[in-house]
Amino acid sequence: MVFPLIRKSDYTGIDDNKKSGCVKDGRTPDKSRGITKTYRSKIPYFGRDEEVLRGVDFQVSEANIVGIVGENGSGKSTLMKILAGVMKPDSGLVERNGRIGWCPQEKLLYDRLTVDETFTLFGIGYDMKRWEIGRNKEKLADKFGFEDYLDYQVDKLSEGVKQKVNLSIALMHDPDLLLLDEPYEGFDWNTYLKFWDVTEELLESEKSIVVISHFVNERERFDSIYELYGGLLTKEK
Amino acid sequence: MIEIRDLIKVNVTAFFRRPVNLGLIVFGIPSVIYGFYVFMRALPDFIFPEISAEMGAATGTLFAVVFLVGLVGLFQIISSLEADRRLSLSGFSMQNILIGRFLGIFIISTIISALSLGVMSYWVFAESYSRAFLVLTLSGFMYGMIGVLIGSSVPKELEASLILIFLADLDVFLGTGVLDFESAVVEYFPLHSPSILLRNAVLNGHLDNSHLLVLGVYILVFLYFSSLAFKKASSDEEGWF
Repeated sequence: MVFPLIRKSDYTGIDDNKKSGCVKDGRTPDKSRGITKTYRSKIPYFGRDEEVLRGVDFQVSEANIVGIVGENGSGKSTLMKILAGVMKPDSGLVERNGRIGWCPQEKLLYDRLTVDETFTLFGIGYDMKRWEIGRNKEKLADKFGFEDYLDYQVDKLSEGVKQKVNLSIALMHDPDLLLLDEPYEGFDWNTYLKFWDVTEELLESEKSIVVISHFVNERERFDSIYELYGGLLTKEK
Repeated sequence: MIEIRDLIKVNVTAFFRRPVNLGLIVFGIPSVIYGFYVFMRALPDFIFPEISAEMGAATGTLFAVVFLVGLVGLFQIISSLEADRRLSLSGFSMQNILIGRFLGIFIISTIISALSLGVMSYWVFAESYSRAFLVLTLSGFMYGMIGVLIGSSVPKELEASLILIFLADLDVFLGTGVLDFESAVVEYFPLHSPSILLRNAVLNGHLDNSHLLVLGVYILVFLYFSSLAFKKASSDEEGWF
């Protein structure tokens, strides 16, 4: 099943790449070519333009886990938003396959909904059946240890528990490609280890994972690591 | 349809779970209505020649409803624009998200109008409560659209709230005729027709079709522009300002 991640209006075709950024629902592997993005000053002649991405090429194959590192403000989250499809690049091509799970750095959840209601709402969006939503919610709550907080409003949760929910929403529909932006921020040690258990399970079931972080301290867990510097992405040897 | 129903539920639930909203309903609405009532009764007739204390209370009711629903529209957009983008990534269309918001605002407008009318009835007897309710609900919905328009254009809580306060104050004091300001321009203010409609509903139980039509046109215009602003804001990570 392919999710309606990509709106038809976004798709302009490969030939239009030079005109504007485009998104294509392609076949494996998931990749992006020549991605550029500049944050332009809103008022002409005041402020300054910020060129964040200057032609990023990136590819992730099935059953691979890829890390992207970079300094604060290097454009990691911008790249992740473009890969996820919530931000348009100025130019370049993004090809994706299958279902995407996006865990943003900011916990983009509805503050006044309970954890239960949050799962239900996003599950409906993911086109899941109610029983599937319930089953996956319980599984993830048990895995990450937030089963006691299911009836709590999101704004009443601690930052750590909120991040568990944030991550679980990205995982609940069993995505083919998981895009994780600083996923273990705020996790305690046990949850951090459980996070890696989950990634292992996902990789075993041929899923692909991209992890963005300002630092990676367990490099052996990754198939490859890229560094984003000066608007360009380079593979670390 | 299931999507929209769930989104309406989310929006209405979120509104009633915000303590400040409950505070505004319980304390804000009676304070505003009573404030307008006392204000018009206390000041001499040569300052407000055409507004009695009862009509002051009715105008206060209109202001309470439009301001509160305007805030609802504004904060619903600002507080959830980012989460909406994530929700759209999960499969909800932005169009459905917007429809859910608008219908949610309409339902909230009906609830706030009913409560405000109940409070107003303590000081003023209305000849037709159903017509007064209709006017209040539609006016509230119109201001909800204005709130969405402002919230989508200026997605910052403080700045957007100040703009709404300024506009609503200007509108209620000039557009409704509380201040006797002689200018044809005030007839084009959004609350001009609703204030005439509400006073007629309260005083004689009738609604003037021409003013009802004007209110309908204003709602459609704000619906259109708020949809455009939301579309722009939801598709552009950086917003307009």
